[in-house]
Amino acid sequence: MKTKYFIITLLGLSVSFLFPSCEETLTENPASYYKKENFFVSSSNAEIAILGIYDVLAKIEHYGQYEMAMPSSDDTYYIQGTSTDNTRRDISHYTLTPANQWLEQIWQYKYKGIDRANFAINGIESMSEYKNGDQKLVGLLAEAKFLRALLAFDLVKYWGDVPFKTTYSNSYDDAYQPKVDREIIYDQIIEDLNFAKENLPWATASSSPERATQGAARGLLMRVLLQRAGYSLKMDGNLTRPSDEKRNEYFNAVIDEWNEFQNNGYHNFYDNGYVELFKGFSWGVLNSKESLFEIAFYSADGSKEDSGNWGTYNGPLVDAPLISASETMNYMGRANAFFRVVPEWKGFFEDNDVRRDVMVCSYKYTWDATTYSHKKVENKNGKDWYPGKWRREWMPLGYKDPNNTDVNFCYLRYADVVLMAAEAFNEVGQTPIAWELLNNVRRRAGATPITAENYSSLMKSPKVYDLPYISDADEAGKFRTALYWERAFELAFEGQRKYDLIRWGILKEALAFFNNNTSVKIYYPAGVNFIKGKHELFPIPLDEMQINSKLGTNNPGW
Amino acid sequence: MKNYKKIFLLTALLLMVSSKIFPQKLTVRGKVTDNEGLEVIGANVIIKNSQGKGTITDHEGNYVLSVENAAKDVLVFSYVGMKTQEIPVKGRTRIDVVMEPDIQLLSEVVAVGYGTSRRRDLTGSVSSVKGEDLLKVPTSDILQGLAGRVAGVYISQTEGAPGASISIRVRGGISITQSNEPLYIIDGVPSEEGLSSLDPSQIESIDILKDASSTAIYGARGANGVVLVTTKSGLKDERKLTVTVDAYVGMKKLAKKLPVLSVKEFLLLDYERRMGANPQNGAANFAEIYGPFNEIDINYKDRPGIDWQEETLGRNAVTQNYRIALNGGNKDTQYNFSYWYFKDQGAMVYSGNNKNNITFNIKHKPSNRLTFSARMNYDESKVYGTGTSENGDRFNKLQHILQYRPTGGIKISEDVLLKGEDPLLLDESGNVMQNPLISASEETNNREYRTLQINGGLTYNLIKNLSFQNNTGMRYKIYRNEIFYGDQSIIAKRSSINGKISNTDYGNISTSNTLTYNYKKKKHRFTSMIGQEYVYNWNRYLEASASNFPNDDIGLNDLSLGATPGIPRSYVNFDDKLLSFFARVNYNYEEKYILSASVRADGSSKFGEKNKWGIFPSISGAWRMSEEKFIKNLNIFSDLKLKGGYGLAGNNRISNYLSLPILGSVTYPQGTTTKSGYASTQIPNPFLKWEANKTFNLGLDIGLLKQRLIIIPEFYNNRSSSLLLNSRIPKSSGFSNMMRNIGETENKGFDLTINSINFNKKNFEWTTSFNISHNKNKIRKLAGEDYFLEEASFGYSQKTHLIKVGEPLGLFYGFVTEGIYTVDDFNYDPNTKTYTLKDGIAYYGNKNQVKPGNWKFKNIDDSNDIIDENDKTIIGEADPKLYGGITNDFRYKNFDMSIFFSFNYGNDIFNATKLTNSLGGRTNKNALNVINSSKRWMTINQNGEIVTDPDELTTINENKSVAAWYDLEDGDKYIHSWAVEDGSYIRLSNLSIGYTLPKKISKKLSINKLRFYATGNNLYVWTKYTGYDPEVSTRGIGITRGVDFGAYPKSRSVVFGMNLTF
Repeated sequence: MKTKYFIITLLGLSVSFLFPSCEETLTENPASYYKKENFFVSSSNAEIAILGIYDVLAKIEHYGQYEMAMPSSDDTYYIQGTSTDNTRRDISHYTLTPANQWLEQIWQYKYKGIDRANFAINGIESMSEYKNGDQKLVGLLAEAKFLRALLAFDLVKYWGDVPFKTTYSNSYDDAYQPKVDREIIYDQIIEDLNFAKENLPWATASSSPERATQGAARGLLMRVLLQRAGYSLKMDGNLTRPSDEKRNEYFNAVIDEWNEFQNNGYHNFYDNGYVELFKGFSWGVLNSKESLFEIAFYSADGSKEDSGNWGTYNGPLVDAPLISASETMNYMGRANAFFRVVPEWKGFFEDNDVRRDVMVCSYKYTWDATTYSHKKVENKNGKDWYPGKWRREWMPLGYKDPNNTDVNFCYLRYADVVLMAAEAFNEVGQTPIAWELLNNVRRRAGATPITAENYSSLMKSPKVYDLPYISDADEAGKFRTALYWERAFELAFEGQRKYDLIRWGILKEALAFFNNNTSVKIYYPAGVNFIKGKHELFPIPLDEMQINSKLGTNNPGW
Repeated sequence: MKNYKKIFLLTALLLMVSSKIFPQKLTVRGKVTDNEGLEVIGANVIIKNSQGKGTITDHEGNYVLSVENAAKDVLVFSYVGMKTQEIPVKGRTRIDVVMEPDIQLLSEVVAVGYGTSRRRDLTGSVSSVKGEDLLKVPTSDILQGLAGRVAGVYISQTEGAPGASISIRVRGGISITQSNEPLYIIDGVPSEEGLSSLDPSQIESIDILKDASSTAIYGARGANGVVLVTTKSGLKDERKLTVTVDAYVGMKKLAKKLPVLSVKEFLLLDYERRMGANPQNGAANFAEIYGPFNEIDINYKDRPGIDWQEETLGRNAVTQNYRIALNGGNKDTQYNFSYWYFKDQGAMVYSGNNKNNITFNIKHKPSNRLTFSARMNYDESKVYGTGTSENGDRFNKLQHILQYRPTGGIKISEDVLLKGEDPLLLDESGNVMQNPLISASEETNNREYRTLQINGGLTYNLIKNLSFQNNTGMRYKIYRNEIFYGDQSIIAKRSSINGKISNTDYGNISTSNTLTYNYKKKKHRFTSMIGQEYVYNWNRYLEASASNFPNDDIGLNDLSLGATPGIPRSYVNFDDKLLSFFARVNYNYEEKYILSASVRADGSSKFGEKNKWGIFPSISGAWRMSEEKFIKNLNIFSDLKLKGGYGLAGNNRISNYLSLPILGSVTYPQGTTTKSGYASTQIPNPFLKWEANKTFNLGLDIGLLKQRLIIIPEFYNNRSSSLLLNSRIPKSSGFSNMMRNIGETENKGFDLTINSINFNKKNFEWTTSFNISHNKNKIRKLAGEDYFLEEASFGYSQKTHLIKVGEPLGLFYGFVTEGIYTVDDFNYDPNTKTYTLKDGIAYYGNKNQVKPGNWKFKNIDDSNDIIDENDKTIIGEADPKLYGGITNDFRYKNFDMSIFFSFNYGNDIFNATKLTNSLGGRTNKNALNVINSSKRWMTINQNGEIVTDPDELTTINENKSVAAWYDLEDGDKYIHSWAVEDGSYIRLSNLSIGYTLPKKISKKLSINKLRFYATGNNLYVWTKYTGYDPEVSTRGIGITRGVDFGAYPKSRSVVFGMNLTF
């Protein structure tokens, strides 16, 4: 008996002291996660790292919703409601504080994407297959660089000089970075886009605009160059732009890119016209011809993870259908319509211009309990007119969520490329080519091409306003005036307008002027609240200023 | 028979002879031991009526004493804390005495971690609670019964819902962002899930180790205190089977309702806001729904309206509890089996908690040197119901209950409103509010817990004084959560009928081995222990969901009915390991001086590669002054002990893999599908390690009046460092947080426990236990910054808490309310009938939009007239200055009574329920009565006309304290001190009355004991707090503690039961 117990005890002792005694026991080997150091081993892994960067774009807190508020208000639209909310309204009405919560999120998502891009770039560049010239890896690297450029460009537009690095954050010390002059960041953006355009294939009829192509890289490069050539608010509080010599260089570079588009010849206006183009965005049609790059949204069950709010948050109002829960696939979902268009725009269009009824939607859908269906109701009051480029009524019937939709955001399309080229041609003195390009855009939309004869009737009051802040004394000025209207007609709400006005140095003037002339004055206070030399840039979020002492002072006026 | 007689006669004869013939001297020897067989050193042995003639026992408990009359003399054995015994010598030369403890506390044995100790030998801070005290509270979670009973341990329930989480903080809790839960050890085996799977009746005692000199033996897990639970084993002395039946049935009822606007007040508010929003048609719109303004009194005089709180939360909920326990055994084998069924309805409709529990304990002693024990416990618990506090926004259920309108107006009767959806809300685009009775029945939220725990151990005495002990246990737990939105639920109407099942499995294996050596020589007593422990935890998760169910008949029972499957999710985590070695020595000299030291080395898989191992030492000592002559001579103290200790313990409650550079999965859509991506989820920190808590403890054990009065004051100073802060780093790094060991906090305070036996007579006993604690928390260091702000989310998108160096945790942050703007603050323009704020008067937002009746905030930053971020300040503090409890137990003949009060003093509550339910600007919604027309700034007069004239406006708004409807709109979301309230309270927590059948009667019925009892719980709360209950924290118990948003109200309950043993 005794020996038995003794043996048990000894056994217990020896097992307990020997079996878990090595250091290996305490090493973690995560089974549900990849470890960074052994990730870049195959091109399929490299590809999922690239998808990790794209993921950042397709978030409610980014291009899915929050990003919608960032380029508003301009002279075309604003967010309804004027009481303070510390989020979207304050941004739109220029009453935001550095503690604005959406601003904080946007800031975070830009950098999250840049860090993921830095990680992927570093990883791919260290792969031996890449060094041996594996074409797939080169293409993936080009995508990563395109995305880094896209996000860095957003940063520079919104905040000017910001922390920026091309290595990924791997330690505590990496996290603290000082501001970098925006010109240096621009250099890097252009370098990245040059790499991207040289190593990405041109789109074809079978390619998807949801992944970057050569056209996307070239188009974005044009956008970057134009922005860089224009005004921006500097840390000294002045709105300045580069020397004429530099600007000329940038405009010529834009023209070079345009020529590449011409040489390739694939990208063009959408085959079925302007209206169908936008209906197609809501319907979920992917076209790679006019769409150079789209930020993709799709979720099988309407969950927030991969959905956006295009067509609900930004779109005409639709009442929630009062139906049974099992009928949701047979009715149009609701849209809560947070944006409003400045209603005067409806009158600026020619009657034959099909873009008018896409841009301005003057009706809403209410629920009619008696017919058990939605009913289209005209809004008499211009304060209830909505931006109409994305709509519930154009989406496939049924809904998965009251807010979340599968509608993609088209980040860059061919019409913009044409107008950018036109602008560059005009600025380097080739105004006739510029007119021709601009009129191509108008022709597609059914609008009358602008000529010396009809200029006054189309681009002056009473058809539109006489702009006090753009001189049309000479031919270039006339073109600039026409471009002012044309870019709004064509591209309103697509994220470009506010930054067009900033680079042209007239955002304050345009806001104030439209505020004075509109019937929705009290709902649209941007022109009153905007302070020149301050609101051209957002403040760096309060949180960030507190944490990172290397940032120094905030942007001018904040 | 014959023989017996003979013997009897002989004996009688001998006795007679001896008493007469041998009255002589005799030397008596013997040994005095206590009930555990330990020798009692220094016990008094005197001869009765001999003027103190006697001796004391030596170091081995032996005595030698000469008696004058061996036949008649009586020896008196006495020792502090032991029952005095009188034993006649009767001619014997050897008399060994086993002394029984007199007062429980002094010789009580307490668990101290890998062993036990006599309370009198303790050098650290340990509080103990007996199992029977915990049973008084009719609950399924023991911790609830523990609240208010232990000095230095702050226990509070986050809300009143079935299965609501319970926060427990020992001496303040060290951590800023990590869990402050103590470590739970059940019969030597660690339990990650606390005590919820234990049957309260199976608990023998709970010992709580509070200072690091006691907890350092638990190393990296001991920093927040250790709760040691000892479960009951069988009965030693009774061979026959004992059966105990405990059954009670009780009723529960909402303890308090929040006053909402009466029908008339609701109509007045609705009229006012309609008029304000639309001066032309407001009156007509109102009349269409509710009838003309001037007919309100006539139309509604017989319509008291719907009390939605009564409808949803007001039911008489039934609690049932049945328990049967069998135990028995002999001196070698003891066993204990119990089955427990508990069924508790929640106050809210469709909510409750069901529980089944089986426990089996066995202890066997096959030889004198070996003891083996095993315990099995299977627990099944289901908590169901949606509750009221989920959803930190407009989906919140309590908001729906409080804001659903009380009357349907002239076209809809209250009865119709009660049974269906409010048509006014249906017309409202984006409305998410629905009839709370419908949403409660249509939304399923089941939480099921199944826990199987088996553990066993053996103790083997290798050689004299050296014993080996092993404790090994395994636990398997499944947590399943089912969420389903039925056909009529608002969620389903907004998207589709959908549901989700998530399953988490947890497993645990732990084993500990110790060698204990006891050594004793003369005045020296020495105990040493070395040990080793290995703990392994794993868990894995699986989630499946689907939407677009055609109907809700089968629902989650067949997920494939959902036409659209959701993305399934899963993870596994097989990496949580802890490997430890430890040692402890105790040294006791002459029962006067006690020294204890321990050290533990813990290696944890969670820590960074550069900090895998931590060393946790402690040292403590005690001086039993009552053993000193000069104290004994005072004749005051029956016990006096000074104890002090210093130690280091850690907190390793962090997630796995935080130190590693890892990538997590993400998705990006491609066409009508989504593709997987991978992205970095954190910045690696190879230096990551445990949180450290260095504590200094100083205490006294004072026993007076032969231990009838015991006072235990203790002081502590805890300094925590290397706190794991998910510290904010610049977001420009691509990350917003990083786990770093950077924070420092300090907790200083005192605990005081007083136990007294007021009466101890045959027919009347009265004892009192009182405890009070104070803790002062201070943040000493954060991650580089001086402060940061945090949001307790309830839909306001505003920061609510300030975390600042030099200040305690739990500070509310916002504007200071200075009442409301009155007419005097404005210039009035009679032509345009507009008010313009006078220059020099501070305002928030747009100056032109400020109106009389707006909230007015204190302009703290005097540099300008604008109220902005700079004018926010500390507006309240969540932690109490003092807390504790007092219990009085009485017994009179066969009646017993226990009355228990708990209290909290000096804490504030951020009443977000008040803030979010007083938004009078919300059309068609009711609001709390705090904004009724006698308190709210009014913009209409008695005739229903809008008032703009300054004099009239002033007259109708004299002594108003709450802003006008237009400042209570959805958009205006300020955090201000109006919502901060004093949370001090005294609660009559528990009152029990029992009657035990007299022995005479029960014997006739051949039962051991039969007791009938009635217990009332949460019977009354004395407080100024206007919310449901001041014991609340629904938006987190860490940084954002102290917020009451949508808290499920507490109930008052009474149960009647009986306790039968036969």
